Amino acid sequence: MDRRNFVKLLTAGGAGQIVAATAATSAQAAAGPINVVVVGGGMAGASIAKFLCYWGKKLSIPVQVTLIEQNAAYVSCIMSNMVLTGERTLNSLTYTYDKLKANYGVKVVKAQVGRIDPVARKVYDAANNLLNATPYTRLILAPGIQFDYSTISIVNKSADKTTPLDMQVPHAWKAGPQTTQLQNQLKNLVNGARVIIAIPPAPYRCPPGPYERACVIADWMKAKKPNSKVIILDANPKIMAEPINFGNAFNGLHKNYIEYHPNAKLKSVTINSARNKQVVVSELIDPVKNVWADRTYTAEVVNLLPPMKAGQIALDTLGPAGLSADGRWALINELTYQSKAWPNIHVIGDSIASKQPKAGHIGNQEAKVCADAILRLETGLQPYPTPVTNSACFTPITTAIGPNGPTATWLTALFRYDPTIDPLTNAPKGMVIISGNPVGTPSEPLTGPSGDNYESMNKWFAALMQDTFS
Amino acid sequence: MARKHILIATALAACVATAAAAAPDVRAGRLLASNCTQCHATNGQPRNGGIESLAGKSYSSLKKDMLELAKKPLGSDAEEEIMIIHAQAYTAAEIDAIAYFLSLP
Repeated sequence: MDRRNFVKLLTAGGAGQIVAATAATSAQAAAGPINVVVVGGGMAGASIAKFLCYWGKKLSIPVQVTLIEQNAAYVSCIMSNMVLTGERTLNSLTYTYDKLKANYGVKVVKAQVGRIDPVARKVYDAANNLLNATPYTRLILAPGIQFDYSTISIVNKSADKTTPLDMQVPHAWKAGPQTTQLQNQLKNLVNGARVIIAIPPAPYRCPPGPYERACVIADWMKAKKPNSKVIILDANPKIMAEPINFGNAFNGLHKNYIEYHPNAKLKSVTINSARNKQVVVSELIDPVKNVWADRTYTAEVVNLLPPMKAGQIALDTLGPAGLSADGRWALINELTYQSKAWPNIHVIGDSIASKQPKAGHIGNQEAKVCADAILRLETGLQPYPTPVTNSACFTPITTAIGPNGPTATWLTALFRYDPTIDPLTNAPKGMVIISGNPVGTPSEPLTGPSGDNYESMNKWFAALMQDTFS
Repeated sequence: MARKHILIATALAACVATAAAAAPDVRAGRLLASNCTQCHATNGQPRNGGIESLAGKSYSSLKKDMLELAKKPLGSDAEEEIMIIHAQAYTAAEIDAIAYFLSLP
């Protein structure tokens, strides 16, 4: 039944039977608009706040969205590798929530969520103040990722005992002060000193990101630190995204500036001084006999990307029944993004367990599928049965600073919900890649990086942020 | 005069018949076409010199373009490669729904 007709029926006096039939939603309909609270104002959270309001209005379904975000503005991780090379500023990557408020009526609350009561449907800040006066109809969790340092030993033998360790070996994987820190470390790099990029085991946020970072730093080095080099220590057995184009760049264009080590699992970092850090990895030294050994690499800058997991509020709220077996990611139904543990909690973006990558572009699309599903469910309809999402990303291979001029490549993958049961998991196959070459893996251009792709990258980024924040 | 009326009546009947046969699902079109807007912007109206605007294009031209892209072999057109991969993901009925939705004012 359509929500509007339902409300009309209620007011027409036929309410008794209908309320009895649909007790779960009757109170909400009588109380007014669908009351949605969104926790987290990143790419996925901002997108769902916008599209719930925008599409709700188009369909004459009243929706009130409250977006709770701890920061006053969002700083885009996408394109932030170009802050490291000085081609972009963090300011140019900063987006406020003003247009979501003005154009769509999103209510924005600046607060850090400390606790959620999923039974009473109440959200509290860190000081236990209630943030939603009316219990939510549906809650959206979009907290992104958190960093998990528990498997890495960081020993500080340097004179600097005040700078936090995660700033001495920055991740720069959430854009902001960490990005500036890594940028400054690179600026101060002694010409000839080395930069380590340590990549965590998948899944991690933005699969091509670390390889892109290596490429732009290498290209920047050609102009600014010509005797330096990037060492990639990758916990994974191979390049996890765009293997053709990044592989070509590592072995060709950037071969004197990038050393790529797959199967190199980070164990420890010793900070001897600001200019001397030792990284120990367990590395596969004999793939045939599967022999691993500890190896030590020395560098001035260590860009340490720790293993990742869902934001803490998702882990705390959903509980073991709502999380993957390793306790790291939210289990959801990919038709609606409803939590497996709490049907009126939806989880979108980087914190879900999914074959879809953890990245802003597809987080925006997950948000749209979730928004559409909520508008259908709240008006008595079934969710759209075969939603499609897409991942796309343009990635610079060279910069405006290096000798070759700016170029970029891209990857893309289209996913569709497959309801057939996977015998291995006894569950629907869910979102699977349905086109490209070969089908089943993300595609990348066979013509390699180009200046045209670099121009497209800037256009893509502008449109993506317009689609998300205005 | 009579002939004119017959012509109009025939044209109207044809319109009704087409609408009844095709009747693209606007709601499905809206959801599927939202996959276009990360690059082509919300409502297909990119600001700041974005990727090709889709705003104002007709149902028939959008549908024709997408169906032609879907038929192109991968690797046959470097400039269109990314759009070929996207077009090939959809069924003909989905392309119809996407094109119809995007053509709405």
